[in-house]
Amino acid sequence: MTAILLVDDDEAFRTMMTRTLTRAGHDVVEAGDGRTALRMLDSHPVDLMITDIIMPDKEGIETIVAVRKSHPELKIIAMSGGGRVRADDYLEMAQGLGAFRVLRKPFESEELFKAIREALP
Amino acid sequence: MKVLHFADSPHAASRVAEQIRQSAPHIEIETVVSLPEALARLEETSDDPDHFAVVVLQGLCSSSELGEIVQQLCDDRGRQPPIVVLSSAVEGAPGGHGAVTAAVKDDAVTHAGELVALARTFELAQANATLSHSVRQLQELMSTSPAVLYRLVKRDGGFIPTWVSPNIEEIFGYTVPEAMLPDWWTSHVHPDYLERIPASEALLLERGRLSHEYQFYDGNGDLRWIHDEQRLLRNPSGTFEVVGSWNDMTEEMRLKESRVTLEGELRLAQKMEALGTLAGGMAHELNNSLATIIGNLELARQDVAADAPVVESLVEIGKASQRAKLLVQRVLAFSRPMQPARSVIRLRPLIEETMQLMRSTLPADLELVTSFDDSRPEVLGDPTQLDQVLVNLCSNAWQAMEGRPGQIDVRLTTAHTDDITSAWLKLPPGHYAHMKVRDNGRGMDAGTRERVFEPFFTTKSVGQGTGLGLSVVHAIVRAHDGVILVESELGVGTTFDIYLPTTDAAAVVGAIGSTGDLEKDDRG
Repeated sequence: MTAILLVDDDEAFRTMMTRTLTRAGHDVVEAGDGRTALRMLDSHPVDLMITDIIMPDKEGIETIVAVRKSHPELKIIAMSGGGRVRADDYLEMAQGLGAFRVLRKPFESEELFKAIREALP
Repeated sequence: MKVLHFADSPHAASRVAEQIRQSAPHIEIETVVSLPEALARLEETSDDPDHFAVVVLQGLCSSSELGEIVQQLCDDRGRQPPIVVLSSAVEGAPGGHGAVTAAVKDDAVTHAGELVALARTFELAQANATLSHSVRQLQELMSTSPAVLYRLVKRDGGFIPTWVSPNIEEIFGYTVPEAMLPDWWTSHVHPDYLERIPASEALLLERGRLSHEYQFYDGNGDLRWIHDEQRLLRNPSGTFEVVGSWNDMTEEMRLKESRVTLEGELRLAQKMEALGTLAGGMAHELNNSLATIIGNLELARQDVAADAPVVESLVEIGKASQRAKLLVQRVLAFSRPMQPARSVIRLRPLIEETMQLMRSTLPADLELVTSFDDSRPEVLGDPTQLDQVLVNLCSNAWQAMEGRPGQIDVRLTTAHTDDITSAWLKLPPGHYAHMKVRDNGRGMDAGTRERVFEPFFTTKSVGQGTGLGLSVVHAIVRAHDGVILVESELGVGTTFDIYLPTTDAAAVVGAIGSTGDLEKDDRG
């Protein structure tokens, strides 16, 4: 069983993602922002973090940078709805900073599972 | 004017010189008191540009002596200034005026008596010189003036030229005799202006002056903009004359036109930017919502049997979500600069494939005609985006048919732009793939034509179009360093011309001038 930390400020999206991932046999913990995510990583060791990029409080990019420092082995998948000016560049930036895969919202569950399989073979 | 004053007594000389200076101060007087001195001065100055204009002889009493002096002054000198004899001799008296006249014969002009008369003679000479100088200056001014001046007279119901300044040859490439022909002006003015002539003439007669602009063919057959300034003169005899000037305004008009275009482009760019920011923010929110909808849809489908009645509804939700996803992608085209992938694309196969696809989706009563010259242009660009350009233009053309049968022509050629056409197209001179998409649909009025590339501008009813199609086409063409032009007429149809720079001039050798031999591929 894979333990996944899901970080997104959109609660409805988190609920849907948790159901999807749980059904696929993963163990999911949720965080609504980057700050909470960093705190949770210390108490809940996980195999993978799936994080949104544009969030209030602590942006996904900052979160990725912080996680790469504190948990260098942790695999990260970044997601974004894009759209805001230059938000697409954030996805590229996330990849440059060490996110293993990036997903553009909205995506099909198959794209998500493929990214997870590649991150944790 | 310089005068050589020869007097036999210094005292008398200074008196006369003073009187002349007072009555004609512009005259420069040099006094000599002996014949050798006079001859020497004439000799020395004969080649000067401002040599003596007149020789004045004063106080030489005996007529025989005078005759000798005049004879000597005239001898061996090619360019002899006129001689004025100042004599106090009185007509009819012995040794008087007649004797003096006889003595100097034809070699001199004589003036009797009054110094005032002498001064008048000088003034007249001076006035003549001033007049010639003014005429020379006027001619110089006219030859350097950027305006062509003219004079017309009203005769036989029209205005006939009576004088045109010679600089017309340099400025407009016509000779003066050509410009003096009665029908010269009407046969070279742009035909659009001909019908305005009666109104202009009426205005000139009513107001006494007229300032107007029109296009005119110059001596090379090129169209020039002319600013024509006219003033009416009423002669005492009751006839009319017109004096006027023609100024070449071609360059100013070109600048004005390009400024108007630039302002339009700037407004469009600002609008696109503002909409882009707004659309980008909305797209972000919409994508998040769509991600939740699409994800939940998949979960729901897993939860029900494949034949459950709810599946049909779920399928419809799925289709609507996909449409919304595509719409957001199109809106997003404005929130970031469109950077096309750059690969070498052969446009002919791309057009052929796309048109085949269009054929299968568009109604059968719509005829699709494609034609190509043998230039086979290649461009550097993004095949998906260029495909989208063609699909959007064809969809628009089809919608312009409003359900009636019609025809869409897609034509690909290679164009070479020279300095003039490239200035008009605002592209550097060179080779361009020229794609023309023409329909015979309902066409557009001027107001629609001007706004056709604006995002969210649409003439379609709500739900039938986003108003993004043509603005996406515009953005794609600009991102490929090309231009798109639109021509349209209500009830006739619409034509889009797209110019994209070709990759290699060598690839289009032989293309120029061969656009007449088009291979026609009628897929209708």
